[in-house]
Amino acid sequence: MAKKTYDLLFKLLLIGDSGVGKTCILFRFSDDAFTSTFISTIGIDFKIKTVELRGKKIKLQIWDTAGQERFHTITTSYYRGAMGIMLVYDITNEKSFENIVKWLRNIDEHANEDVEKMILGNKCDMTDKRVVSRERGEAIAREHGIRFMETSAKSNINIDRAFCELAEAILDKTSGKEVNENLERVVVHRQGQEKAPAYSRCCS
Amino acid sequence: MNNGTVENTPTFIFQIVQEKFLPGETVKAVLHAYQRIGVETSNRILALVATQDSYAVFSFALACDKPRTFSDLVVDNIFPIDKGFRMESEVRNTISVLGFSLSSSQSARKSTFYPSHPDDADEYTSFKLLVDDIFDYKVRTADTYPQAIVPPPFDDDESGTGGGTTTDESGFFGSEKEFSWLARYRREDDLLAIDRCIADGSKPLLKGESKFQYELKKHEHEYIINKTYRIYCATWNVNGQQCNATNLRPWLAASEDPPDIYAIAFQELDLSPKAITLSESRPDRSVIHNIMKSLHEGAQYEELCSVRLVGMMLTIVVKRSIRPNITRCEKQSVGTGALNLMGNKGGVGVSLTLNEDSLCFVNSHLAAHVSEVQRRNEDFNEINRRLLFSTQDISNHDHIFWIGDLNYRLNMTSDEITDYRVMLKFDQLNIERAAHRVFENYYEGEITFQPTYKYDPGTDNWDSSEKHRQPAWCDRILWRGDKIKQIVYRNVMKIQLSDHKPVYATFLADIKTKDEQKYKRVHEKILKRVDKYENDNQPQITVEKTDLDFEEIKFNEEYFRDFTVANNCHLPVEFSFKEKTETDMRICEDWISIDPCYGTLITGRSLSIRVKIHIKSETVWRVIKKQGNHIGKIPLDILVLHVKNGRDIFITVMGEYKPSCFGLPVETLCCLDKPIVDMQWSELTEIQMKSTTEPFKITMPREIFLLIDYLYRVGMQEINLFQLERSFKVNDNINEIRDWLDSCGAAEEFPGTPHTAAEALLMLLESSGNPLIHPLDLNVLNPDYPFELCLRAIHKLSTPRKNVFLYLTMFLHEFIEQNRNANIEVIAKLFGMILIRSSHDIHGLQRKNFIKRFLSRGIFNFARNEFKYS
Repeated sequence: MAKKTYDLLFKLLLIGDSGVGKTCILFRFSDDAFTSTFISTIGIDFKIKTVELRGKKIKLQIWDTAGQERFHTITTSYYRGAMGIMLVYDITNEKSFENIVKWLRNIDEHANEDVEKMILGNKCDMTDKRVVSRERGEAIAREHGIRFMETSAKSNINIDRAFCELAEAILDKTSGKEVNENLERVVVHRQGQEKAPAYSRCCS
Repeated sequence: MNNGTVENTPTFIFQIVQEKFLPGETVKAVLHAYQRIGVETSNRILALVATQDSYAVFSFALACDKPRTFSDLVVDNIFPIDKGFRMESEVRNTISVLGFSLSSSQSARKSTFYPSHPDDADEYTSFKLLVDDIFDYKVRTADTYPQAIVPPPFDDDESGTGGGTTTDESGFFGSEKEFSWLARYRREDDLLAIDRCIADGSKPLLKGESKFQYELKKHEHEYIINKTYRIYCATWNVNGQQCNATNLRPWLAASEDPPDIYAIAFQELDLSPKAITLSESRPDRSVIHNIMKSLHEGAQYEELCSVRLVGMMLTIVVKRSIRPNITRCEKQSVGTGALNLMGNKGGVGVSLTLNEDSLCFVNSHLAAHVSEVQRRNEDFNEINRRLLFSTQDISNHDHIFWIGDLNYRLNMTSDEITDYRVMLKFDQLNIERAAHRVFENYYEGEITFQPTYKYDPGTDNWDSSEKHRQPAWCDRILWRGDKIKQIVYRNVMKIQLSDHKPVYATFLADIKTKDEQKYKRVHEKILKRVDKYENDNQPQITVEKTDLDFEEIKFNEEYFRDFTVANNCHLPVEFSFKEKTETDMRICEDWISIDPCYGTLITGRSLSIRVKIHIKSETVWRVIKKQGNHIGKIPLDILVLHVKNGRDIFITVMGEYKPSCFGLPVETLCCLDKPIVDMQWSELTEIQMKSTTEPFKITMPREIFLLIDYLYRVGMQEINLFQLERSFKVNDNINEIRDWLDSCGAAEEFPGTPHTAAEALLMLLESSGNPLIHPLDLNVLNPDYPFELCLRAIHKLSTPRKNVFLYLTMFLHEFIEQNRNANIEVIAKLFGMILIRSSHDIHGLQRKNFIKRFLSRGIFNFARNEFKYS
């Protein structure tokens, strides 16, 4: 019999303030394309992309959320099924960075306890407009024991890497369980309670 | 109906259709039409487009009812005006056109259209005339210029279609070259190509998994290579002799190179009646042991499987190194002996998968005797019919090797002929095969060895018994499959144990094999394609707007906003408004309604959705809570429009709830210092907060006082003033009273009637978040509770509540006294429900009785006392 298209299905979520580039990050990752026109996401969108990690085909279903304030209450209801969450801020927007704490709190309140998180400082190509230093990004990630990367959807910096690293972190937790076709019921088993504060330097 | 849905001016439509095309491709005419897809209709724009050499009619599907740009048009079908082109009207009796069909040699099926404006015959008629003219012209030019003198010499000579060299009758008229420009509009292999069957919902979209398999199969040629395997087939009828000590090496180790696969067949291993009746099926291990000792020494072998039926046994042996490449192996046996059942005759088979190909080996022992040709043919068919593996029969295999004692003899009586090449002409199998009566599509190598039967055992001498059997090539090896090449085909004279000589044949077979590296590349490529396919095939829906602005909203009035949802993707779309959270199962606030709240849209269709707001007394306090202290419009609710298997779209309901006395607590109403209509929510919330600490400005709400006062003055003799059935609830007059109350319009005359005033009073009392008698110790509802203590309970209420209650009960008492039609039971029940709220059913009667206790006796003295101190 022919092999299945994928071995595992991971559901990921992109959250962060409006305009930080969540949709662009997703678009770059799924379609390897970039558009600079800003179209606010009014709702929840998703794309899929299959990656291969450690010999396993992993289908990533990535949900892109509306960042606008008025949708915050409603978007939190989408956190529940996510196995990985990307918190995105914009390195040229101080407020979006400050709000990371708020987004983290949202995750604590609404997401699965063992959800894998990663902070992304997007738009790292715009060096002349930078207001949030990489060190501050790293510091907040370290403080919360979360992975961190600076990315640029426009210049395609670290986009693939970020998703693969997040997927790999989830893979570490799955006890080799093959996942069935059912998209909603993906069980992740936590292996070790102790989690090393993993953050990594990036953005060459 | 589709009539008149495209209201844009003809020139405008003409323009946007033209924008669909390249320079040199000119739109000559446009026709609005629609098609019926099941019970639905779908709008189309037909366009007649001309290039220098050719014409075609395009059918466009519309992304929205009124296309605004060329991107709203999607090519749905193309009908090149070629020889097979037809545009046929369905005209019945009158000149009005019911419908018409378009077809062309290049379009798979006839499509039926209906003009969108059937009354406006001009648009259709002129379109049809033009199309007909062109068709006639093309026919004429094709006919009048015989091919030899057809002049238009095409510039480049590469193509054979130019000039007089045309031989195809369709040459000038619709040659491929002429219509090559259409390719741009036909997105054949495009993943996004519109599949009409998918779009109209009659065929489901391929799921990711099936799409992946489909693509993998389609790209097979990119990663499948042929790998050659050596196959060694051998057959021997041992005539019941023990062959476990015989040296089989001359028979099984005769090839130069070590084979990859051996298929070794025996017949008549055991001729005992016992073996026949018990259908012996246990492989003879001693024989297999002997086989394993006798194989080619150039490689290591292992037995893959053995299958036995009585005397027939088939053993498959494979080179150890290729064992992992065999991913499936099954065996099966069929008896065709006595009763077509017994295993003395029949066949045994093994089916296996090697790399990407399936192989089948059959060992059969067919009916004996010269005369039984027909029976042998039948046995062959019977085995083919009954030898079934889990998913396939013999014929479904890529490679088939059929070996055994087929028992075909020679149609020859004389023993004179000894030249086997001559004898072969009388071979029944060859005769039967030539007549297509058996082994159809099978091959057999040339026989260059002498007959294998019948010998005196232990010798190479022909049968010397009384029977004096005619020699024959009973033992044969055939194959089916185009990628098999026979190397040798021989008998083994040296082995003399039986009256048959063993036979063997070696083959080279090309087996489809995955090139792992290439496969990996193709696999990756396809994964990407399938990801893209899945992403591109998400059902999409377009909403006209995501903000619904209701502007100012007043209590008890109905407002609605409509917006369009359209399906301009190429899939049918199912949508529904979704519950917002796991805990909140509502799709919207109680005072909002959505119609329809779910639906299905096929490609090109749109639908209008109406969102309605009606704030009633039961829900107004929630709206007030939502509005909070915000000034101006706020998002009152966010609706989640969910597309099945697709995205969710948030639709924000915006609006500003205008302050009104309805819904406000009586305490707040007692603190107002100006008409509500002049107040902002920020002021009101501030007042509300202060009302718990600061003294009230007035002892009871003016609004309640005004209503009761009015009723007292003019309504005391009114019939059915207070009824359980609230027939005045939906009445414009209520809203006039609302505005009168909110502007504190004592100066103006009361705008209502006693009945609407009574209803307004009830609504005012029931619209606040808490009931009037609140908080309340439910014990007081006990009918045996002393009335004194009930009065205590009222005494404990906040001043405005107490005052309203006393004033109201005194009024109602008076009303009942004065009005001969008044029914105390009804009035007590009505006010019991409104003034005391409880979710317990049993309290219904108790609430009525509680109020009744106040209404039936005068509480004038109590009230006077209370008012004195308030």
